[in-house]
Amino acid sequence: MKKLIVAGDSYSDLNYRSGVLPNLDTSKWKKWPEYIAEHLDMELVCLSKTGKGNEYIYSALLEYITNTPKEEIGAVMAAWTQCHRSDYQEWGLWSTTRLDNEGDVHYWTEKTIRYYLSFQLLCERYDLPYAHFQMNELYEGYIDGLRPTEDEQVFEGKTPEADTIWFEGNVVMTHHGLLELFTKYDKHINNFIGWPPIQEERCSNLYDDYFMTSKMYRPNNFQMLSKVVGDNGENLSKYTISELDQHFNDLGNKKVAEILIQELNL
Amino acid sequence: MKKLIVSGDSNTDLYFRSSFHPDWDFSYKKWPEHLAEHLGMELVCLGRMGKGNQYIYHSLFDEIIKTPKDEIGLVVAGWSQAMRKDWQENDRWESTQVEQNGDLLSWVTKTLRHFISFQMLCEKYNLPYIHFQMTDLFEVYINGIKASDEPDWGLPHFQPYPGDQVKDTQKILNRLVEYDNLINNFIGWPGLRKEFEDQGGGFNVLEELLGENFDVQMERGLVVSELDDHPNEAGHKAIADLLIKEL
Repeated sequence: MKKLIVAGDSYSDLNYRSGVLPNLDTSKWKKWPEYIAEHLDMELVCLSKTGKGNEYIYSALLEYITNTPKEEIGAVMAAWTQCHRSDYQEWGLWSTTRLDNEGDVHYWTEKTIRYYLSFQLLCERYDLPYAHFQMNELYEGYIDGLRPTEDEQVFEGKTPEADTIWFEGNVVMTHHGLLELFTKYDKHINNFIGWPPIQEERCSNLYDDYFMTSKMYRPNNFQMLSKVVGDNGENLSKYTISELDQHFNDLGNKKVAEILIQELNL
Repeated sequence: MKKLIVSGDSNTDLYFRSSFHPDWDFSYKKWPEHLAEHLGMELVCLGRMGKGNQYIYHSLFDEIIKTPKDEIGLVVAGWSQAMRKDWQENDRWESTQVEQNGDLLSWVTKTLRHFISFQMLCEKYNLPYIHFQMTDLFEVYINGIKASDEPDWGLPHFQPYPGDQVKDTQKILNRLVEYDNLINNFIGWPGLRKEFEDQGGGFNVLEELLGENFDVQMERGLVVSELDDHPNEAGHKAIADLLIKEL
């Protein structure tokens, strides 16, 4: 049986536990990588870890793939996360800070896109079937103002009103710079479901102004979380755990798997 | 004419300036220029003073991605110290001498990942490439960082290594062994100082050519001065000659 290798953050973590609902048994439902492995009849190797960023995702895949006989690998999937996380290792363990202390949002986004490409190179170098996609927001959450996490709100008493980290740059100029990044890398991107991973309504009318007139326009671009819960969160209660914890529930994980199976013609 | 694409730190920077000798003229040819001349290629030199391995990998990545592949004749990476951190702000690359998060083993491992990613990048596009450790990979940090006299670089006092020197050195050597079968076209692999010769330490280019300590460096006369141990004009020629021989 060949291996399906998956890496991502909490939305792809088989051992995800809810910080705000600690008594909730999240192990009672299957996660999307398990549905995909079952569908493909492959053995699942899931490297996903809650809270981790894109450096972790790329590094975990690189290390696993380079150390595994290539004939044992059936497929590889990367579910990318927010660009502003910063991963590092200490005592052999991966840690993450939610907001990188160095650099700006343009750099973090470009760094993530470089990880997209490095991941492609890795799989193409060894002729491995692969796909990747943006699981949650890439940079929009940072530009909109980085709100305290659910855990920080429940356990540390932080509030969005008092503890949101506001973006201090020029929003319109920054959006334009970021959209230009997608144009710059467009021709190099392969097997990316939903490319370019931008939430259109979060870019207000910039998306229309910029992309409708350019060859970059993609009618079916998406980020997975928005695709599942709806651009305005209309399916939030159906596909996520609760208002307090907006990670996928049983139905949400199934929905992610269905979207991937459909998009990839699996 | 095909392109020779090179990246590295101050030892690969065509515009190198010494903070010890601000009035000296350093406009002599650097090793990438000698190499390009020898190969009959047009030089694209991305080497920048103070930069680390993240910069080196990403600068090569960006250049290779945007260049038509049939225009590229050779790619060369002259890797730097593992503990440096690089990032971009307002489109400008910035660096610190020592990364604040993580530990030495993780920084070495990250550098090894850059080695592998660099190789995959070149191999994917069938580009001829070589890489090598230009200066200390980790030894300068594990032996304690010397006080820096340079403005805006390092600290003005000795920084002892914060971990267990012996145990951590062994962990790093073990990690290098783990990556051994993944490394290709690396001159002097694994690029360590002479003190690790018995453990298959290979060499780093500066130590190999310029000398392993102050006395040898002065005797060979390939460094800028007794204050500044960057390669001088003859030192750059020696680096180019070594690479030409290896190629």
